[in-house]
Amino acid sequence: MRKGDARVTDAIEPAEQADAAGERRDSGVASLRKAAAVLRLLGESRLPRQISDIARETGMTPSSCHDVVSTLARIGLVQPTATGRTWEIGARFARLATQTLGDPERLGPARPALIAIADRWNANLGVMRRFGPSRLISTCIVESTAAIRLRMPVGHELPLFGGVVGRVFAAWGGIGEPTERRLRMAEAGFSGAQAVAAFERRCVDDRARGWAHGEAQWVAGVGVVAVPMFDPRGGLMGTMSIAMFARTFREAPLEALAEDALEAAALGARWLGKAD
Amino acid sequence: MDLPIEPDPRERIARATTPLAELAIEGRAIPAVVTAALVVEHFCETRPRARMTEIARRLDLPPSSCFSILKTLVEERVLSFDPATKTYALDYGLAAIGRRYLTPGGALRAVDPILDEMARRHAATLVIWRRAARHMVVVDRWENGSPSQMHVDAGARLPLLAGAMGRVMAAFGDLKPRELARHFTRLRWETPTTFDAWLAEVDGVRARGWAEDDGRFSAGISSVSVGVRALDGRIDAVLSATTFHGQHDAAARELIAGELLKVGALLGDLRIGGGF
Repeated sequence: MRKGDARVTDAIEPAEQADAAGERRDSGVASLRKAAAVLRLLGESRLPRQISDIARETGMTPSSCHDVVSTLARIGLVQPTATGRTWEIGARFARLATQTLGDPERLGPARPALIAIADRWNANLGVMRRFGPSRLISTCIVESTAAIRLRMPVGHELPLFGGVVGRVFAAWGGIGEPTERRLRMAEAGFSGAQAVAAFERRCVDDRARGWAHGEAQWVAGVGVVAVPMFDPRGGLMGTMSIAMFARTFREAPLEALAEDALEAAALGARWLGKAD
Repeated sequence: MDLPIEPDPRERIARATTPLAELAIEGRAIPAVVTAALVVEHFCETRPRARMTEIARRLDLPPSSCFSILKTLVEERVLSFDPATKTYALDYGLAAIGRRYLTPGGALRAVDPILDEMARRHAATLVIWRRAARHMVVVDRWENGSPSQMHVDAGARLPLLAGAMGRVMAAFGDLKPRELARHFTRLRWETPTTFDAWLAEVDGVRARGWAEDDGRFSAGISSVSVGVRALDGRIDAVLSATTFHGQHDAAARELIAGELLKVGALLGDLRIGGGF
């Protein structure tokens, strides 16, 4: 620990941190927030953006935007496109984003068996994990090898109770506190006594059955079977889902589909458990 | 206000691949942004949860600055904070921002400006090949804008062990000696060589990590190749730089090989599914 910072320890809460360094720190934090805003904008953009667009859409002055983008460019977090006039997420950022998933999240040796399951149903297998208090995020995808197939990106977010996958979190996630539960349901679009009661009934059924299923619950034209993935202590570590085109889903034998989802979940949990 | 703010384009590879702690940052950069990136990179490399004081000590940061950066990264969902243990860990925020790159095609998009610049600087055609049974198939290529240059169509294929890329596959492609002999007999060399002499070259490739073919497989064409690993760590693809025979001397070819090794490793890190 450096001189002058001896008071700062892990035990001190943020509110207690106001000190002489506060002003300097705030300006650093403001720059960091601006950098995060630029990265979010470029991450969400389908196409690379010009500096003037970035400044306008992040609400920065052109010179401040120039400083932030220059800094991000110097460390490879953003990069110019081949024309040199527009900017996009940099290769270093993409690598860091991939690394945050961790190698086990990419399912390593379990992948061939998971691809076989994906091919059996021409489906997309996906692992979703809890992301903060109120969101889910997909951390791993295994696609079928069919020429025309469903594609869902890693990094895709849902409300915690959103879609079929969210029902698994509602049923097995240990979120029993009524106020929080109502809040999560509202975020997923379930409000009003009837909708809430219907959602809860479905959760009870899912839990009794061991898996959840549904069509067009979150994405139109897609049917999903989702099952819980448990860590060795029995806690919910995530979900494994099999998603497919709705028509294929309607014709698929649900029990067999769920059996494959459970097998995939066991395979995935064994591998992902090594990361937790 | 679209100013040319990219630092030296020739340093794109270094900016994408050199660890931030070792990167020489050109010009003026915002310290808090650079430090935050350093913190994130540190978490990506080490992965375990850590207390603020440990992180400050490891990265030689003043604890007050370290604290405010960690707090901001938590608010931006890049890190998570566990109040019970007062420790920080990676969260999925970067994956959420970079989700357009965490999908098949994302790796190619991320390295596109790097390979474009490299192709122009070395007046080379850069090609990513991927194994498809007995062949190597072109996944993508970057030409250099010269009036005369090597051209190869996307989807074109060559025998598995052809040229420099074939030596890479022989060295790192997990092929049994019997398979090597069988595939070798299928090659049609411009300047024939014996299987034993070729195997000795393959041993050399194993030792130095890259391969070259200076016009012996195809007259007038010189290639330098490196392997690109798949998710399971196997080499199933190759990144090659192809030029005219005699265009580069041995030192220049070695320089190209060094750059290809860095970009090849980056491509391996960026792969999400079976493809790119």
